[in-house]
Amino acid sequence: MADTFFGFDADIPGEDDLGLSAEAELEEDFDRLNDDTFGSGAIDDGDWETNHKKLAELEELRKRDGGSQAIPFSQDALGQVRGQGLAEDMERSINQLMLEDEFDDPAIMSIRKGPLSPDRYNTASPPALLQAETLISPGRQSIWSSPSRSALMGNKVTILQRPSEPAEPRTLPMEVGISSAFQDSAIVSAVPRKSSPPLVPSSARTLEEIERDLRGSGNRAAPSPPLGRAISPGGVSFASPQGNHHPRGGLGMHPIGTPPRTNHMPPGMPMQGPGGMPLQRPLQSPHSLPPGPHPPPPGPHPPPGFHNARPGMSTPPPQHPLPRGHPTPPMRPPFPRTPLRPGMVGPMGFSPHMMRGGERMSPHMMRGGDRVSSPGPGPGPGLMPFMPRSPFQHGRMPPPPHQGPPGGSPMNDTALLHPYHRQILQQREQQFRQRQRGGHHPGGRGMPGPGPHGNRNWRDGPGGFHGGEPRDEYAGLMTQREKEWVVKIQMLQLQSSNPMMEDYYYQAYMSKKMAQEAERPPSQGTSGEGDGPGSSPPKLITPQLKQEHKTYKPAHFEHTLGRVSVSSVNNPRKLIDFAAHAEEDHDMKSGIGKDHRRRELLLLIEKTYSVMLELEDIEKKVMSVSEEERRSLLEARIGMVHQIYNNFGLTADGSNDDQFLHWMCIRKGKSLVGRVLPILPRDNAATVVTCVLRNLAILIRKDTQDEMLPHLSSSVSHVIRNSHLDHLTSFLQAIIQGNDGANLTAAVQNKFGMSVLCSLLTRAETLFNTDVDTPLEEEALWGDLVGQVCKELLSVPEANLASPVKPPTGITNHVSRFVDKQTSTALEQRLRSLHGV
Amino acid sequence: MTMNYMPGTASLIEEIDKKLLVVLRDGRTLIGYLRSIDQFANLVLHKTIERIHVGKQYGDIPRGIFVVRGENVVLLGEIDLDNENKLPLQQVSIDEILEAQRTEQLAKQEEEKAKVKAMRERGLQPQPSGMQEEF
Repeated sequence: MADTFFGFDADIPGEDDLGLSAEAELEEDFDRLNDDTFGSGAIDDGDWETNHKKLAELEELRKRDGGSQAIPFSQDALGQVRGQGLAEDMERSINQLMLEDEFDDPAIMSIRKGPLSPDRYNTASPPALLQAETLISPGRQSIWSSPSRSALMGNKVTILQRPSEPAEPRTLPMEVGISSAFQDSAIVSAVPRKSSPPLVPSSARTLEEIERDLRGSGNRAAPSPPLGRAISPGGVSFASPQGNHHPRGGLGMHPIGTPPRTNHMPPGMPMQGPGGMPLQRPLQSPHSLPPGPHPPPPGPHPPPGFHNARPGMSTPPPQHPLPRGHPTPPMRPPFPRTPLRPGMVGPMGFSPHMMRGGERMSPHMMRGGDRVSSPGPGPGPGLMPFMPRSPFQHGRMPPPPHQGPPGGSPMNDTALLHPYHRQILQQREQQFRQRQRGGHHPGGRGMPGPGPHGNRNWRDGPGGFHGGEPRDEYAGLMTQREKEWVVKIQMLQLQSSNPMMEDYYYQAYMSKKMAQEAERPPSQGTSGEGDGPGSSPPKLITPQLKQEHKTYKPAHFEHTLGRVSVSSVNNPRKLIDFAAHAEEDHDMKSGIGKDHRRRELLLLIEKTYSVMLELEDIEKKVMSVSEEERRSLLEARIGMVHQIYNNFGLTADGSNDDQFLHWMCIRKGKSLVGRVLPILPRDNAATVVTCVLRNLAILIRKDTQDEMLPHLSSSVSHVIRNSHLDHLTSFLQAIIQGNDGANLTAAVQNKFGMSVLCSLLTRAETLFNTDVDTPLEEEALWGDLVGQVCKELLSVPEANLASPVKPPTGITNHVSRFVDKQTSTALEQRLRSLHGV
Repeated sequence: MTMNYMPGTASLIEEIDKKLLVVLRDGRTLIGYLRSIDQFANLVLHKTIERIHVGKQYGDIPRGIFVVRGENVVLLGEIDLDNENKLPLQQVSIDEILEAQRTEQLAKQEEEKAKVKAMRERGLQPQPSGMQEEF
């Protein structure tokens, strides 16, 4: 990681490579395991161990060499590094940028995207030096590198300087907060990696400025170089007035948020209690630290861990008085601080090891201990000019040209989202663009109300002051990209490959909502920016998520018994390993008995129901899939329909009605028939209806309790409406001839029966009206049947006649075709009186 | 914008860099600039103050940067900067407010004790009050 750090990367790596090659294989294994755990790519950034080793060696070297170490940072070395490294670095960093565009598992992201990769660090350092010049380049590396490094250095320096530090308000400039207080890896990774649009901010500091600052403060502070070296093995002496070389000296290729790592906090100390314990000392204060040694201020001190980087933070660059909303007087923390003794070093001492965690940005970083930094003293004054840079830098980091909605932006993935959410996102995007054009944000306040897309440029740019209020330097600490992650994570949770199954209530709610909005007059654009949600038609089906489903392959370790269970976010451990077993116990069939048969029937109904549900799911899905998938789905559907029909156990000739009758004696079976009828092929449906009508008397008798039959009538009518005369004839025949005529009598006295009769007659009338050529004998047969029906209708006492579910239309017209005037008139009267009831 | 919101914690993105008041589960009130969030609604508050209200008085304790675990957030809302200083409350110093808070707590304890005593006298088992929980 730090191999280029000290300026002699050229020779060292070779050495290291030799030493490490032997272990390479072993480590690969580890890496593979890590892959299993964190997903591939988690550790593809390079081998931190190697890098750490390099770093350690470097430090050893440095110690041995003593005084000469400051040299690497001399102009010569710098120039060299600059020369060779820059082009390469740029290239690599650009590549890196592209690599980062892929969206990963969020859990992994924090590790992976962290500024950990040695590569990145390497690339980072040289440009960091040139930062001011390369401001416009895709310079995220500079963001990472400089502040932390300077913080580190300052840290060391201050150790030296402590003794003579004059009393001063122990207040911290805001900058401290950023560099040292944000120790959460999540936050760290939040620091802009992707830079913002190329905007050369008027207030951006130029190299000159920085240098001037450095010179100024460096001269004033003038810590002695040897001293500095003695204390900080990895550090850099600050003696040289060319302060701008310092960044290279710092250990910390830490990302901005990474504080110098000196375990000063009590190791076990949580960063925050359940209630969110304060992490840091007060930040709000005028940072008027005079350059030079700062002794600990008298008075209450925060716990040592809290103290850290203070002095270093102190001087903001002269050019940038901290614009703060409400300058607050120096504040005292409510709790007493432990006075810092001069020269005090963290309890753990200050050793290279401490750097480890931070450099790697592993999740362990989260532990408060190693992040809250320095053993009391903060970065020395020599550094100060760098400190404030961090906020500035990423405050105005010119973004890469391709900003817009970045590759991974939710906008591009909106296809996965529910249409409604997509709309929201799109609206947002539009708003953002408008705002950007307008040059100020929605709040209209000075507040960095970044809107959904906190882009720093328009906030920090020349127009930074809005409405006379001070701008907020720390605005946009969370990058656009990170915001998108959060959005994406949330959105992904709404994704489902089978929304109606997994997320029915949300889908139903959304469709209802959208239907409501669609109903509203479009003029009412309250909801609306641009095209309100009401303008697009409600669309229920959420596009399928193209989610790669990784199969879980448990890690297998050699020479172990059993399987070692490894789980990760991608491969959660299976709690229950369930597989479908054949439930049907055919041996049980021997155990006959009425009860058993009934149970079997119930099971069959349940099974058919689940086929039915599956089938309905398919119907919903069919709309949203591609043509090929649709074809296979339709095939599957046909198979299912067939299966359902077979479960009825019916034959076309009506010889095997028994099972179906049993079926129809069960309430659930009846409702299932009602649901199935409309989707059955016409012939099958006709068979079912015929069977029902043939046994109408029995069914009506059995239905007295359930009263389910009337619910069937709409399905039956549906079938009837789609039938031709031959089917109608067979239906009517089934009613009239089945059960020795008992059917017809029962039918006219039953709501379902009457409904069926009426729809039969209505359908027949329609058919006759459409002038389809009907064979004479068929027509005669039909007329005969109708006549029988009429007779029955008239013979039954009027009080016993049931009224159909829907009032019939055109029946009398139809009947009058076949019967004499008198009968039809009587029938008409009867029907009319029925309706009157 | 009032109608539309992002799902889950993504809606907090709107609040980033705004000045927010956050009420924590233990009853503390924080005011600070929201700097960062994640999917768990963990918050990073910047320039945080802890505001203690006692009666018509309040006091602010500067807290710096506050990282709040999302589950501890009870309530969160943007501060109206225009009317921020028009509170019908009186700001007092930290010491005063802490003192006032202490007195208030003592009074509450006294009251609680009296209540318990009264209940005991009537032969009732006092219910442990949920609010006494210490975090």
